Amino acid sequence: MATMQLVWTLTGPGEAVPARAPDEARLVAAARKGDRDAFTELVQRNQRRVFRLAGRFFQQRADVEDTAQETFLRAWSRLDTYRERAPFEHWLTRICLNCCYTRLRREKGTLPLPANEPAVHGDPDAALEVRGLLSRLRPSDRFLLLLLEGEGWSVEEVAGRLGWSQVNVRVRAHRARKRLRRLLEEGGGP
Amino acid sequence: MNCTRIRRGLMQSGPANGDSPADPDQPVAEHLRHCAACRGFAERLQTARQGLRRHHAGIEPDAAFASRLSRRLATDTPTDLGRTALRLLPLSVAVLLLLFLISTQTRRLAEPAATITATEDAYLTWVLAADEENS
Ligand SMILES: [Zn+2]
Repeated sequence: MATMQLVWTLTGPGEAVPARAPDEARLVAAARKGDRDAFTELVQRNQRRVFRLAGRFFQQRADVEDTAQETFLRAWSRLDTYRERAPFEHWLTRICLNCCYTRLRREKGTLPLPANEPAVHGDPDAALEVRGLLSRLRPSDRFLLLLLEGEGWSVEEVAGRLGWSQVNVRVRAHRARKRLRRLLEEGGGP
Repeated sequence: MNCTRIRRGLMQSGPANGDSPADPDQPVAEHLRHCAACRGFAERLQTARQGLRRHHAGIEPDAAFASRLSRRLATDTPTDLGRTALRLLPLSVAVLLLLFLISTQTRRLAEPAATITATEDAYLTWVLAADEENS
Protein backbone atom coordinates (compact mmCIF):
# COMPACT_ATOMS: atom_id res chain seq x y z
CA MET A 1 0.00 0.00 0.00
CA ALA A 2 3.00 2.26 0.49
CA THR A 3 3.39 2.77 -3.24
CA MET A 4 -0.25 3.54 -3.76
CA GLN A 5 -0.71 7.29 -3.82
CA LEU A 6 -4.45 7.65 -4.02
CA VAL A 7 -6.03 10.97 -4.83
CA TRP A 8 -9.56 10.50 -3.52
CA THR A 9 -11.40 13.35 -5.05
CA LEU A 10 -14.47 14.43 -6.95
CA THR A 11 -12.25 16.79 -8.88
CA GLY A 12 -12.18 16.37 -12.64
CA PRO A 13 -9.12 15.63 -14.75
CA GLY A 14 -6.88 18.66 -14.96
CA GLU A 15 -8.51 20.39 -12.01
CA ALA A 16 -6.41 21.16 -8.96
CA VAL A 17 -7.07 18.92 -5.97
CA PRO A 18 -8.37 21.22 -3.23
CA ALA A 19 -6.73 21.11 0.17
CA ARG A 20 -8.97 20.48 3.16
CA ALA A 21 -10.66 23.77 3.98
CA PRO A 22 -9.49 25.09 7.38
CA ASP A 23 -13.01 25.45 8.78
CA GLU A 24 -14.25 22.11 7.44
CA ALA A 25 -13.85 20.36 10.80
CA ARG A 26 -15.89 23.08 12.48
CA LEU A 27 -18.69 22.75 9.89
CA VAL A 28 -18.71 18.97 10.19
CA ALA A 29 -18.81 19.16 13.99
CA ALA A 30 -21.70 21.63 13.87
CA ALA A 31 -23.57 19.55 11.29
CA ARG A 32 -23.15 16.49 13.49
CA LYS A 33 -24.98 18.36 16.23
CA GLY A 34 -27.86 18.94 13.81
CA ASP A 35 -26.86 22.38 12.47
CA ARG A 36 -28.51 22.36 9.03
CA ASP A 37 -26.91 25.67 8.02
CA ALA A 38 -23.46 24.22 8.60
CA PHE A 39 -24.36 21.18 6.50
CA THR A 40 -25.83 23.42 3.78
CA GLU A 41 -22.48 25.23 3.67
CA LEU A 42 -20.79 21.85 3.10
CA VAL A 43 -23.35 21.12 0.37
CA GLN A 44 -22.63 24.41 -1.37
CA ARG A 45 -18.93 23.72 -1.34
CA ASN A 46 -19.27 20.23 -2.81
CA GLN A 47 -22.40 20.31 -4.97
CA ARG A 48 -20.64 21.05 -8.28
CA ARG A 49 -18.27 18.15 -7.77
CA VAL A 50 -21.11 15.77 -6.88
CA PHE A 51 -23.08 16.87 -9.97
CA ARG A 52 -19.97 16.38 -12.10
CA LEU A 53 -19.50 12.83 -10.89
CA ALA A 54 -23.19 11.90 -11.20
CA GLY A 55 -23.20 13.44 -14.69
CA ARG A 56 -20.73 10.79 -15.76
CA PHE A 57 -23.40 8.09 -15.31
CA PHE A 58 -26.68 9.90 -15.91
CA GLN A 59 -27.56 12.18 -18.78
CA GLN A 60 -30.81 13.75 -17.65
CA ARG A 61 -31.01 16.59 -15.16
CA ALA A 62 -33.63 14.83 -13.02
CA ASP A 63 -31.39 11.77 -12.57
CA VAL A 64 -28.27 13.80 -11.84
CA GLU A 65 -30.09 16.00 -9.35
CA ASP A 66 -31.84 13.07 -7.64
CA THR A 67 -28.50 11.29 -7.26
CA ALA A 68 -26.88 14.43 -5.84
CA GLN A 69 -29.77 14.86 -3.38
CA GLU A 70 -29.53 11.22 -2.36
CA THR A 71 -25.78 11.61 -1.83
CA PHE A 72 -26.17 14.59 0.48
CA LEU A 73 -29.16 13.15 2.34
CA ARG A 74 -27.25 9.95 2.96
CA ALA A 75 -24.21 11.94 4.11
CA TRP A 76 -26.41 13.94 6.49
CA SER A 77 -28.01 10.86 7.98
CA ARG A 78 -24.66 9.08 8.37
CA LEU A 79 -22.42 11.90 9.51
CA ASP A 80 -21.69 9.88 12.65
CA THR A 81 -19.81 7.34 10.53
CA TYR A 82 -17.44 9.95 9.02
CA ARG A 83 -14.14 9.55 10.85
CA GLU A 84 -12.34 12.64 9.46
CA ARG A 85 -9.22 10.65 8.57
CA ALA A 86 -9.64 12.02 5.04
CA PRO A 87 -11.23 15.26 3.80
CA PHE A 88 -15.03 15.39 3.77
CA GLU A 89 -14.88 15.44 -0.04
CA HIS A 90 -13.34 11.96 -0.16
CA TRP A 91 -16.03 10.52 2.06
CA LEU A 92 -18.65 12.19 -0.13
CA THR A 93 -17.06 10.68 -3.26
CA ARG A 94 -17.57 7.22 -1.87
CA ILE A 95 -21.20 7.91 -0.97
CA CYS A 96 -21.85 9.51 -4.37
CA LEU A 97 -20.31 6.58 -6.27
CA ASN A 98 -22.37 4.12 -4.24
CA CYS A 99 -25.55 6.12 -4.94
CA CYS A 100 -24.71 6.12 -8.67
CA TYR A 101 -24.04 2.39 -8.63
CA THR A 102 -27.28 1.60 -6.79
CA ARG A 103 -29.26 3.82 -9.12
CA LEU A 104 -27.66 2.34 -12.25
CA ARG A 105 -28.48 -1.16 -11.09
CA ARG A 106 -32.09 -0.14 -10.45
CA GLU A 107 -32.33 0.89 -14.12
CA LYS A 108 -31.85 -2.80 -15.01
CA GLY A 109 -29.88 -2.10 -18.15
CA THR A 110 -32.10 0.49 -19.74
CA LEU A 111 -30.45 3.70 -20.80
CA PRO A 112 -33.13 6.29 -21.55
CA LEU A 113 -32.40 8.67 -24.40
CA PRO A 114 -32.16 12.32 -23.43
CA ALA A 115 -35.44 14.18 -23.77
CA ASN A 116 -34.62 17.87 -23.73
CA GLU A 117 -31.01 18.32 -22.87
CA PRO A 118 -27.95 17.83 -25.03
CA ALA A 119 -26.50 14.61 -23.65
CA VAL A 120 -22.87 14.83 -24.55
CA HIS A 121 -20.49 17.46 -25.78
CA GLY A 122 -18.87 17.06 -29.18
CA ASP A 123 -20.05 15.11 -32.23
CA PRO A 124 -23.74 14.20 -31.63
CA ASP A 125 -23.63 11.16 -33.93
CA ALA A 126 -20.58 9.68 -32.19
CA ALA A 127 -22.20 10.46 -28.83
CA LEU A 128 -25.36 8.62 -29.82
CA GLU A 129 -23.31 5.61 -30.97
CA VAL A 130 -21.49 5.47 -27.64
CA ARG A 131 -24.85 5.63 -25.90
CA GLY A 132 -25.94 2.66 -28.02
CA LEU A 133 -22.84 0.77 -27.00
CA LEU A 134 -23.33 1.59 -23.32
CA SER A 135 -27.00 0.61 -23.45
CA ARG A 136 -25.98 -2.92 -24.46
CA LEU A 137 -23.70 -3.30 -21.45
CA ARG A 138 -24.87 -4.38 -18.03
CA PRO A 139 -25.19 -1.49 -15.55
CA SER A 140 -22.30 -2.83 -13.46
CA ASP A 141 -20.06 -3.04 -16.56
CA ARG A 142 -21.11 0.42 -17.67
CA PHE A 143 -20.34 1.77 -14.19
CA LEU A 144 -16.80 0.37 -14.16
CA LEU A 145 -15.98 1.29 -17.76
CA LEU A 146 -17.08 4.87 -17.19
CA LEU A 147 -14.73 5.06 -14.20
CA LEU A 148 -11.81 3.33 -15.92
CA GLU A 149 -12.14 4.72 -19.43
CA GLY A 150 -14.26 7.81 -18.79
CA GLU A 151 -12.64 9.17 -15.65
CA GLY A 152 -9.32 7.51 -16.49
CA TRP A 153 -8.98 6.02 -12.99
CA SER A 154 -6.72 3.04 -12.39
CA VAL A 155 -7.99 -0.16 -10.76
CA GLU A 156 -6.29 0.96 -7.52
CA GLU A 157 -8.01 4.33 -7.65
CA VAL A 158 -11.44 2.80 -8.32
CA ALA A 159 -10.95 0.35 -5.44
CA GLY A 160 -9.83 3.09 -3.05
CA ARG A 161 -12.64 5.44 -3.92
CA LEU A 162 -15.38 2.81 -3.80
CA GLY A 163 -14.07 0.93 -0.79
CA TRP A 164 -13.99 -2.29 -2.83
CA SER A 165 -11.03 -4.67 -2.80
CA GLN A 166 -8.57 -4.38 -5.70
CA VAL A 167 -9.19 -8.03 -6.59
CA ASN A 168 -12.91 -7.36 -6.82
CA VAL A 169 -12.37 -4.35 -9.10
CA ARG A 170 -9.81 -6.23 -11.21
CA VAL A 171 -12.18 -9.16 -11.78
CA ARG A 172 -15.12 -6.90 -12.59
CA ALA A 173 -12.96 -4.74 -14.88
CA HIS A 174 -11.79 -7.85 -16.73
CA ARG A 175 -15.37 -9.00 -17.28
CA ALA A 176 -16.53 -5.54 -18.35
CA ARG A 177 -13.70 -5.18 -20.87
CA LYS A 178 -14.38 -8.66 -22.21
CA ARG A 179 -18.02 -7.78 -22.85
CA LEU A 180 -17.00 -4.50 -24.47
CA ARG A 181 -14.55 -6.39 -26.68
CA ARG A 182 -17.30 -8.77 -27.81
CA LEU A 183 -19.58 -5.86 -28.67
CA LEU A 184 -16.82 -4.19 -30.67
CA GLU A 185 -16.05 -7.48 -32.42
CA GLU A 186 -19.69 -7.85 -33.39
CA GLY A 187 -19.24 -4.52 -35.12
CA GLY A 188 -21.73 -3.09 -32.69
CA GLY A 189 -19.37 -0.38 -31.65
CA PRO A 190 -19.01 3.13 -32.90
CA MET B 1 0.24 -13.66 -32.44
CA ASN B 2 -3.40 -14.47 -33.10
CA CYS B 3 -6.24 -11.97 -33.39
CA THR B 4 -7.84 -12.78 -30.02
CA ARG B 5 -4.57 -12.17 -28.16
CA ILE B 6 -4.03 -8.92 -30.05
CA ARG B 7 -7.52 -7.69 -29.19
CA ARG B 8 -7.19 -8.70 -25.54
CA GLY B 9 -3.95 -6.78 -25.40
CA LEU B 10 -5.53 -3.73 -26.99
CA MET B 11 -8.36 -3.85 -24.41
CA GLN B 12 -5.86 -3.95 -21.55
CA SER B 13 -3.77 -1.07 -22.88
CA GLY B 14 -4.93 2.48 -22.55
CA PRO B 15 -4.65 5.53 -20.33
CA ALA B 16 -5.98 3.74 -17.23
CA ASN B 17 -3.05 1.34 -17.50
CA GLY B 18 -0.45 3.99 -18.23
CA ASP B 19 -0.21 3.14 -21.95
CA SER B 20 -1.00 5.21 -24.95
CA PRO B 21 -3.51 3.46 -27.24
CA ALA B 22 -1.99 5.35 -30.16
CA ASP B 23 1.37 3.75 -29.52
CA PRO B 24 1.04 -0.08 -29.60
CA ASP B 25 4.18 -2.16 -29.14
CA GLN B 26 6.10 -3.64 -32.09
CA PRO B 27 4.42 -7.09 -32.52
CA VAL B 28 0.97 -5.52 -32.18
CA ALA B 29 1.79 -2.78 -34.69
CA GLU B 30 3.12 -5.42 -37.07
CA HIS B 31 -0.08 -7.48 -36.72
CA LEU B 32 -2.29 -4.45 -37.26
CA ARG B 33 -0.44 -3.62 -40.47
CA HIS B 34 -1.42 -6.97 -41.94
CA CYS B 35 -4.82 -7.71 -40.34
CA ALA B 36 -7.66 -5.49 -41.50
CA ALA B 37 -10.11 -7.04 -39.01
CA CYS B 38 -7.94 -6.15 -36.00
CA ARG B 39 -7.21 -2.74 -37.47
CA GLY B 40 -10.97 -2.12 -37.67
CA PHE B 41 -11.32 -3.36 -34.09
CA ALA B 42 -8.55 -1.04 -32.87
CA GLU B 43 -10.22 1.93 -34.58
CA ARG B 44 -13.62 1.09 -33.08
CA LEU B 45 -12.01 0.69 -29.67
CA GLN B 46 -10.28 4.04 -29.90
CA THR B 47 -13.51 5.76 -30.98
CA ALA B 48 -15.37 4.03 -28.12
CA ARG B 49 -12.75 5.19 -25.61
CA GLN B 50 -12.93 8.77 -26.85
CA GLY B 51 -16.71 8.56 -26.63
CA LEU B 52 -16.55 7.23 -23.07
CA ARG B 53 -14.27 10.10 -22.05
CA ARG B 54 -16.69 12.64 -23.53
CA HIS B 55 -19.79 10.85 -22.21
CA HIS B 56 -20.88 13.37 -19.63
CA ALA B 57 -24.09 15.25 -18.95
CA GLY B 58 -22.25 18.47 -18.09
CA ILE B 59 -25.11 19.51 -15.80
CA GLU B 60 -24.51 22.14 -13.10
CA PRO B 61 -26.58 22.56 -9.93
CA ASP B 62 -29.00 25.46 -10.17
CA ALA B 63 -28.82 28.32 -7.67
CA ALA B 64 -31.61 26.90 -5.51
CA PHE B 65 -30.30 23.34 -5.19
CA ALA B 66 -28.73 23.80 -1.74
CA SER B 67 -31.79 25.55 -0.31
CA ARG B 68 -34.13 22.86 -1.71
CA LEU B 69 -31.93 20.25 -0.11
CA SER B 70 -31.86 22.16 3.15
CA ARG B 71 -35.66 22.08 3.25
CA ARG B 72 -35.58 18.33 2.70
CA LEU B 73 -33.13 17.94 5.56
CA ALA B 74 -35.68 19.63 7.79
CA THR B 75 -38.61 17.48 6.74
CA ASP B 76 -37.62 14.29 4.97
CA THR B 77 -34.76 12.64 6.73
CA PRO B 78 -34.86 10.60 9.89
CA THR B 79 -31.54 12.23 10.80
CA ASP B 80 -32.30 13.47 14.28
CA LEU B 81 -34.26 10.40 15.22
CA GLY B 82 -31.66 8.11 13.64
CA ARG B 83 -28.78 9.91 15.28
CA THR B 84 -30.46 9.86 18.68
CA ALA B 85 -31.27 6.19 18.25
CA LEU B 86 -27.67 5.47 17.28
CA ARG B 87 -26.34 7.35 20.30
CA LEU B 88 -28.78 5.65 22.64
CA LEU B 89 -28.32 2.21 21.18
CA PRO B 90 -25.30 1.14 23.26
CA LEU B 91 -27.02 2.45 26.38
CA SER B 92 -30.25 0.63 25.51
CA VAL B 93 -28.38 -2.59 24.88
CA ALA B 94 -26.46 -2.21 28.15
CA VAL B 95 -29.68 -1.58 30.09
CA LEU B 96 -31.37 -4.56 28.45
CA LEU B 97 -28.38 -6.78 29.21
CA LEU B 98 -28.32 -5.58 32.81
CA LEU B 99 -32.05 -6.20 33.22
CA PHE B 100 -31.60 -9.59 31.66
CA LEU B 101 -28.70 -10.49 33.96
CA ILE B 102 -30.65 -9.35 37.02
CA SER B 103 -33.65 -11.39 35.98
CA THR B 104 -31.55 -14.48 35.32
CA GLN B 105 -29.82 -14.15 38.67
CA THR B 106 -33.00 -13.72 40.61
CA ARG B 107 -34.78 -16.49 38.78
CA ARG B 108 -31.60 -18.62 38.69
CA LEU B 109 -31.99 -19.47 35.03
CA ALA B 110 -29.53 -22.05 33.88
CA GLU B 111 -28.20 -20.85 30.48
CA PRO B 112 -28.45 -17.16 29.68
CA ALA B 113 -25.32 -17.19 27.46
CA ALA B 114 -27.07 -18.05 24.18
CA THR B 115 -29.49 -15.16 24.49
CA ILE B 116 -26.73 -12.68 25.36
CA THR B 117 -24.67 -13.80 22.38
CA ALA B 118 -27.65 -13.45 20.09
CA THR B 119 -28.26 -9.90 21.33
CA GLU B 120 -24.60 -8.96 20.94
CA ASP B 121 -24.50 -10.47 17.47
CA ALA B 122 -27.56 -8.52 16.41
CA TYR B 123 -26.02 -5.36 17.84
CA LEU B 124 -22.71 -5.97 16.05
CA THR B 125 -24.49 -6.67 12.77
CA TRP B 126 -26.44 -3.45 13.15
CA VAL B 127 -23.37 -1.38 13.95
CA LEU B 128 -21.35 -2.86 11.10
CA ALA B 129 -24.18 -2.22 8.65
CA ALA B 130 -24.51 1.37 9.82
CA ASP B 131 -20.77 1.83 9.47
CA GLU B 132 -20.58 0.64 5.86
CA GLU B 133 -19.53 4.01 4.47
CA ASN B 134 -16.73 4.78 6.81
CA SER B 135 -14.05 6.99 5.44
ZN1 LIG C 1 -5.94 -9.87 -36.40
